[in-house]
Formats: sequence, structure tokens, C-alpha cells
Amino acid sequence: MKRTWLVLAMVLMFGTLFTSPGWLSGQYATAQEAQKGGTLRLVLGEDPDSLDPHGTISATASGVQGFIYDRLVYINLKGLPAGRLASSWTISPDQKVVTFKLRTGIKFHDGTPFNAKAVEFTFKRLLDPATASPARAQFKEVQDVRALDDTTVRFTLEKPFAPFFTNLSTSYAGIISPTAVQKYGKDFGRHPVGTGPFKFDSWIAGSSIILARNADYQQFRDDVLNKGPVHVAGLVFKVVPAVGTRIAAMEAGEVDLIPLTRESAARFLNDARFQVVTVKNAQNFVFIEFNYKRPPFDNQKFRAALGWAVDKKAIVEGAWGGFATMNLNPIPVGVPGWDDKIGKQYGIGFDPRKAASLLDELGWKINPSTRIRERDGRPAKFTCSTYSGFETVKRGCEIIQANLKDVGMDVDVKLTDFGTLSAEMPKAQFDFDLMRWTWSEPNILSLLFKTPGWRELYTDSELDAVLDRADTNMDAKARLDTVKQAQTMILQKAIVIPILTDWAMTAAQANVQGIHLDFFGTIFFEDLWLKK
Amino acid sequence: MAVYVVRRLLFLVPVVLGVLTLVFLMRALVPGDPIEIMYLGQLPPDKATVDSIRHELGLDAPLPVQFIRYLGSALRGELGRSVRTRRLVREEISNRYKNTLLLAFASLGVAVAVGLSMGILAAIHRDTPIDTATMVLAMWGLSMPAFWFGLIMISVFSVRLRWLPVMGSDSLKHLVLPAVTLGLIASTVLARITRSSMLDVLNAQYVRTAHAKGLTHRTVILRHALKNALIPVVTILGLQMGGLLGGAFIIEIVFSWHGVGELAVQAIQQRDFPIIQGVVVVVAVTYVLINLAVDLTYSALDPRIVYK
Repeated sequence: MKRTWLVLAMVLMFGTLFTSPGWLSGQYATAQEAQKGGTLRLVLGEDPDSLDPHGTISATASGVQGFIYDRLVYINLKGLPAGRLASSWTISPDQKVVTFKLRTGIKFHDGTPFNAKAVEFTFKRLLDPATASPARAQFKEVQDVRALDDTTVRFTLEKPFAPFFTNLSTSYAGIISPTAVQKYGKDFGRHPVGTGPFKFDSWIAGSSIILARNADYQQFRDDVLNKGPVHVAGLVFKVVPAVGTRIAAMEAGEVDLIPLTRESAARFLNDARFQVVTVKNAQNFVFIEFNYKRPPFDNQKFRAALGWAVDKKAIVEGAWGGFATMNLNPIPVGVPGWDDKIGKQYGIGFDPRKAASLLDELGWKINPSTRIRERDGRPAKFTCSTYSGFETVKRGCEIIQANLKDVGMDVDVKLTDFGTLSAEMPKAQFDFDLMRWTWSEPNILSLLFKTPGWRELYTDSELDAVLDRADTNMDAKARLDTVKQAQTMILQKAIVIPILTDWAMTAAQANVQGIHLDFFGTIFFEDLWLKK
Repeated sequence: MAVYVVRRLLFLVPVVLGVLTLVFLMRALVPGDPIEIMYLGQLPPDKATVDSIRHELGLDAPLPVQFIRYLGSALRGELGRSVRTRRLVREEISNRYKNTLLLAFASLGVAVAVGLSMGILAAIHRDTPIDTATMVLAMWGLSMPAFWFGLIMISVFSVRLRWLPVMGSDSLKHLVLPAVTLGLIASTVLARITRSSMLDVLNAQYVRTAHAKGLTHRTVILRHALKNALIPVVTILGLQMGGLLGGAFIIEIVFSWHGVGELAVQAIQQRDFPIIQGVVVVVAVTYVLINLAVDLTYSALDPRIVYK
């Protein structure tokens, strides 16, 4: 997610709120008004590695796969799972067996009928160690999948697993055609076949991917207006790694939708040729994390002091140009369980005096000759690391540097490419860093903080117990209470210093009609049409 | 001559071996595991899956074993599989190398046409405003960052005038802007070298003789002076061609021209070592071949140069 292509793909996947008044007032065209035909031209930051949902977890690939493969469930506008290829399901009293009833009369793009055997085949392949699917970790709690009859399939879980339905709604859980897998074998990822609204047409490696309208498509999502085949004739994804080129292509009318970066957003905002979709409750958050194994960052009070010295609003304005929401919660604004009240009550805001007093308490005293704090002869000289290639985090680090100087800390900014940075982090050879994560499930907390933490530096059995409870509670509401409890704990322990959630922005040509968004802020391509 | 060519071609073997060894050593030194980087920012795969992928790609063997295996498959013409796409490196590169070749030759055409013309013009109008203007233009082009010039070209010809497409490598129309951008940049060095080389030749006695025997100015310049002035120009041309075939990285990215340069940049970001190795080997071989072609061209231009 720190890498450009990932960010871009996620932006395409998660749109949220259009600044154009039409979106706000729900004036998108109904299925009856929509004009048919035309090809929507989109961009990808990189060539996907594979279109086999079991062969990749790249967000770019996932963005394309989502059009080809339908899933058993989707997350509705209330944030709850609802049936897509599954019409209903039951959960056993011990919450370990989920039995799905499937819809009938659906066919894969190659004519193979969709049934329980296909679902069983899909998940058995996904879970088979021989497949070596990188997505298997998301379904590791699934012990067995069995087709009970043509329209019934049973999932047996090792233990109750709360993210199960969200994970089932992702493209990794797209149902694949068993016939096509047998036909293409390892090359299935280059010849993908699903039941989705678009079918695979062609792929020029490194250049473009073309998907065509599935003329037999039936839509079962309640949040999509168009219940039949999509309005457009197809989608063309062009691989365009450079942001500047993408902007020029949009201005020249060569593409219809592009994700916007902070730098490019202003250019499209007041231009009548374009519409700009702004997702404020996006699924990302930017935070300071620490090397918990290196003093003084092993000290909760010191981490909090550093946090109080950082002006989050200045980072929102100065580094993100105002295209972000200050977020004091250790979870993205758009993820269920985010609660402004927690941030307000337990969050670490901006109070340099408090920071200074905490540092004094800890024995870090200002040396009058250097104006830098010292303790036991050690000066407060630290390094703020972040990944290179993104102006936002670089500027963010520079603001943090200036803020910390004000409270007597001398901070260097170190930029490293993301691969090197993340490889170095487990070696615990850094002080603190500015990081950004994107994830749409509340289990982001477990991914980040459950022992040993995402960079193998943090251990906390008390927090682990709370996160375990959140991950195994299949009662959505009760689960979110535990998620909130975990957030409070993370803030009280100052494990990270949350700063903001940046907005996901997408520009669309003015003739792209019917834009509206799902729970995650994803544009419904099924309802899009091109005004002639 | 034939013996010379064979000897030079045999020289390719130690070059390729040296390049393979160096790139492999770099792989051992650069931090970041390719499998881990591939899944960064995602829910990481379980250890068994990572081990399985590592095994499939042969990355679980000790580095010396990996190196020997790699050399063995390179001898058979295989350069391994991409860590990211698992496709054959040979396929990934060959698809894009065609595009790079096309762009390189088209840019070279532009560079030669513009560079030689500017150089000759400046030389025959030495110390006049034409000379000064041409050389200022050449210096301006030389000091201009390629990506910036590329974006300016896009802004003018694609966004404002809408004459040419911004990006892609689908047709000859898509070739025009990157080729002209790259060609104009390359032409600036050629113009300067052509000018200084022409100035040397124009003062030579045989040029005066050619004038004295009544040949037209045009014939003297093009048939007598230019041909003899071309040797240093061809050297520079060879170096530039090598660079162009090695992938004009920035230009390919700016115009989304899907060549080996673009592939190499992505592979470096993703630590896709088999692709990086493949690209480096292809670029090294290209350089050696181009240099050989340059040396052979010398003897065609100047019969006094004989290879034994």
C-alpha cells in the first residue's frame, strides 16, 4: 500500500464521496436512462502479476479480478454481509460451521454451470498447499469446504473467525470455473474465467488488459441499480506507471477515470471537464510507529511525549495539502469500529507543553548550550525514517522534525525505498518511522499489533487477548465493541501515534454517468454508462 | 576481418559471465527479500506458502548453488522466471525488446537527421549568428532533463493540440513523440561533435583541393568533408545507440512506452532479480554488439583502417 501502484489500485477500488453535487443528492442515472455501449478506459500503475485469484494478492490484480469473478457474499451499505452468488446462509450455534445456499441458473463465462461443486473446487484449490496461494492466509481458519448438494455448500472453521464474511467478499474469494482451470492449468491466471459482470478478452503483457461485457450477467446485489448486464461494452486497462502521464492522458481525453494524488487533485477539482470523487472515510491511516526494542522508544511515556509534540493538523495541511482528515484513532476512518469519540478521549493530540513536561519527568533535560535535550549524557538525537518516492510522507517527516526541534529533539529525516526500509525494520536498526497502511477490515489491528507486530518488534499479551476476542466474535456489533476497546488500549500504551486518513480521490470525465459507491467507497462499474 | 569479428564475438563470453556474476553479487548485497517485498502491504502469506513459492523459484538454495543453476540455464538460453509474474524472463524481455528496438532506431533516425544537419550548418557558417544559435540550441537540449522535455512535448502535442497520443506503444502514431523527444536530446551531442569534426576537416588540404578542382560547395561538403568527419560522430552514435537499446528508461516511463527500460525500473522496485539480471545481460550484449558494429563502420568509412 505504500507503493505507488498499490495506492493507485486501492484508490480505484475505494472511491467514496463525489464532490459533484449530483452524487450527494443521489442524482445518478437509473438503469432505464442509461445509454448502452462505449468502452471505459482505465489505468493501472503496473501490469498485474496474475489474474488467478489464488495466484496473487496484489491490489492491482485484485482491482481487475473484481470485475471477472463474483463472490458468494458482498458487504452491503450498512457494512453487513449480504448474499451475492449465495442466496442465504446459516451459522451453527458454535459459530464454526457456515452453510450457504447458492443461487441457480448462473453460468461461468465459458458456459460451465455455477454450482456447489464449483465453490468447493475453488476453495479446495485455494487452501491446497500445492497451490501455494498467497491468499490462503486469509482463509487459514477454514478447515473444510464441502458441497452437500448442487446448491448447498458447507464451510467448517477451526474456530469462529470474525473477518470470514469480509474475506469471502474480496476478489481473492472469487469463484473460478473448474473447467477453465483444468483446461489452462498453471496458465489460468492469463486466461481467467469467472461469473462476473465482465469477461476476460485479451492481455498484452505490460501494456493493456481488455474485458468485455458479460451479456448473460444477473446482478444480485441490492446496492446496484442495474440488475442485468453492464451498460458499457467493455473495459480497457492501460498500464501507465507515471503519475504525470496519467494526468496528461486524462486531460487529453485518452482515459476516463484516474486515481488522483495529492499533487494532482487541485488540477481537476475546478475543471468542468471532469468530475472528482472524494472518499473521506477511506480505509487508510498514517501513523508514527517505533522501534520498541530500542530505548527510549520502549518507554510508553516517551512515545506519548513525542506524539504530543507532533502537530497533526500541520501535517494534514502542509504535507497532504488539506486532502486528509486528522485521525487520532489507530484505525482508518472508513473501517467499521472507528469512533471519533475514542480519538477525542484517548488520542494523542498536539500539546508541546505537555510533551516538554513529560520529557522533563523522564529526565530528558535541555542542554542550554545545544538547546537539545539530554539524559545521562545522551543527546535526544533521533532519525525519522520513511519510504521514498512519496512527497506526502517526506513532508510529513519534515514537519515532525520541526515539531520535535521545538521540544528539544534533534531529528534527521531518512528516506529509503520501501523494500529496503521494511527489510531493515525487523533488524531493529531505526528509531521511529512514518508509515501508511490501507486495510478495510477491523482486523487491521491484529495485523499491525498482535504479537509480534507487523515488523516483529512488538509483544503485548494483554492486547493480544483483546484482539483475539475481536477476531473470533462473529456477532458484528459485539465485535466492534471489542475493536473499540483494543483501540483505547493501543492509544493508552502509545504504541503508535495516529495522524490522519488521507482522502482517496478519483477524477472522471464529465461524460461518465451513473457513478455511485458501495460501502467501501468502490465505484459500481455495473451502473456506469457513457453519455454520447 | 572475419577472424576479427569472431574474436570480438568470443569476447562476449567473458563479458556476459562477468555481468552475470556482478549482478548476482549485487543481489546478495541488496537488502530486501523479493518474496517478502511482493507481498508487502498485504496480509502476508503463511510461512508454508512463502517457502513453497521460494522453492518453486529456486530461491531456497544457497546462493552459490543458485548461481551455478542460473549459469546452467543461461547457457541453455533460459534466464529463469520472473519472481512476480512467474513468466519466463525471456518472454517478458523479448516482448518489450521489440518496442525498445523500434524506439531506439526511430530516435536514432531523428538524432542523425537533426544532429548532422545542425552540426554541418554550424560548421559551414562558423562564427556567424547561425553557428551561435545552433550551438546554443544544442547546449540547451543537452542540459534539459529528459522527463521534463517529454512532459512538455506531451503537454503541447497531445494535451493542447491533440495531434498525437500521450501514451502507449500500440501503433506508429504512439512512436512519434517518444522518438522525437529522445532523438532531439541525442541530436544535441551529435550536432556538437559533427561541428567540431567538420571544422577540422574543412581546413584540410584535400578539401581545398576539391574546391580548387571546381566541385560544387555542396559536393565538397557532403562527399568529401562529411565522410571524413564522420568517424568521431560514428563513435558517439554507437555509444548513444547502445544507450537507446539499453532502454531509454525515463522516456519509456514518461510515454508509457512498454520497453525494457520500463520493465527494468519496475523490476528494480520489486526486487524481481531474474528480470533485472535478464535486462542487464541483454543490455550488455547489445553494447558489445553495437561497439563491434561501430568498429566495423570505421573501416567502411576510412579504408586505411584495417582489422586483422
